Amino acid sequence: MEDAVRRARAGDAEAFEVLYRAHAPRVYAVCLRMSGDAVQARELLQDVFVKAWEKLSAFRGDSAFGSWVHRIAVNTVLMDRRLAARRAEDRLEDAGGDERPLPERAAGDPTQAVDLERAIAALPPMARQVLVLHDIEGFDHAEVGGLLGIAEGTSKAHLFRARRLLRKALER
Amino acid sequence: MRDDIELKRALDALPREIEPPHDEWPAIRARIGTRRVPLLRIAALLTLLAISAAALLVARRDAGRWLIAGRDGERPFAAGERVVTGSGTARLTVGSIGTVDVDPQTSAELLEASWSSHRLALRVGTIHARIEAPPRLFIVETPAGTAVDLGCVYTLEVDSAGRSRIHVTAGWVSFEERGQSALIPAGMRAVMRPGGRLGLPVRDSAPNELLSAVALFDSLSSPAAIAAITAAARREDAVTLWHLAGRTRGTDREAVVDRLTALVPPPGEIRRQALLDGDARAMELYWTRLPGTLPIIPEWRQSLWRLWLRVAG
Repeated sequence: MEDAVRRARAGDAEAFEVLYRAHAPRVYAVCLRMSGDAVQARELLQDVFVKAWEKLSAFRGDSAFGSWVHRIAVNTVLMDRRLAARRAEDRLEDAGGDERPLPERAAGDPTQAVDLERAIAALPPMARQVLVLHDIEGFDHAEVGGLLGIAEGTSKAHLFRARRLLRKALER
Repeated sequence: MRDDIELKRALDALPREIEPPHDEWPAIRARIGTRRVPLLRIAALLTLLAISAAALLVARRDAGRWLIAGRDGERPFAAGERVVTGSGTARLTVGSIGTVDVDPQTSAELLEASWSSHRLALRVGTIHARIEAPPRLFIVETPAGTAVDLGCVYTLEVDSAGRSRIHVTAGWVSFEERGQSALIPAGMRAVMRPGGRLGLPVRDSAPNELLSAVALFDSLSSPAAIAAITAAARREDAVTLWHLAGRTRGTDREAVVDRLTALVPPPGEIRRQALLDGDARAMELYWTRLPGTLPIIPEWRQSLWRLWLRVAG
């Protein structure tokens, strides 16, 4: 993999494809959970790897490529979410309802994990982002606050709310 | 799912990887193009260009700046200013290309000072120029003509009658007036008179007979002087004969050319008739064969001319 990184840095697109194949599932998971939308997640996945390609010369190899591209993924999604938050739809969602309409249970998907994914996707944007970053991606509240531009206490409040909404959704 | 612990367990159990439903690589591949140009390299290149441009501007500014150093210390010397030494001396710094030492009893005026041209007018007196620059960048005007530096060290003296005496010690100088020119290589000197009369260059080591004959020719251009020069010239004096050939006609030229070709055989492709006709290409090509000369023209043009002469001959 180090060789692929080295060749990709030199401009080798085929080597970069190797890196994409290895890391796309992890990046897609972040994009999907934080955006809550499969179509947006695909676009974000593309954006993340295009940015990674453009910034490869700045990647010094101090961390693993996977960690580096994961950080790009988080930042890309958050940037996209900030733009989306300017739209009235997002403002209404955050200000008004406690939750989005829960997606219909897909036929043949009776497992708890699928229910949980659907419930996460239905969370209000900020609550969803805090929950994904904290409970799934492993960031602490200080880091989450830094990433989202909110106070640590606000992050905790959003997490509390997200968990409550999740439990409520899963109890239905 | 009753409490946070149960929820946490469920969240921890979620897969950290989800296979994208579609292969996004073709779209990514199309967006990244064929080759990535690292931003750092672009930035480095732009920085280098900026530094080079700044350095060029500074160099150009300095290259056109003259200084004068004399009794009162050193100060800038601008176009339009004069230096009149009286009993003292002065040193002029010619941008970044060299120096001009000014002897006592000398008067000179700086006509032009820029990175692309330096022009000094020597009214009377003596200067010693030491220039390291591309040809024709440093020019000294005198009452008898213009000394064009071709990369050299020389002394130029103008007397009260306007006669200019030039002595070249390194490189060479082209002395030009009214469309004529005299090429003076290192180790040679010449006297130029007002009125477009360019003297013949003569070697420092020339015998007295030749010096006298050249002085006579410079004054009278008589057949006797021509005969005396051809008789006294040695192989080392071929440059003098080469110039003489260009200033004679008819049988006088024949005698000069025959003597010159006897002392220094021309390249095989140059015919005697071309020299008698004063063919410029043949003369310039012949010049490169003469002792103590530098090429007037670049090597590639010499090659072309040789080919042309062969075809034309």
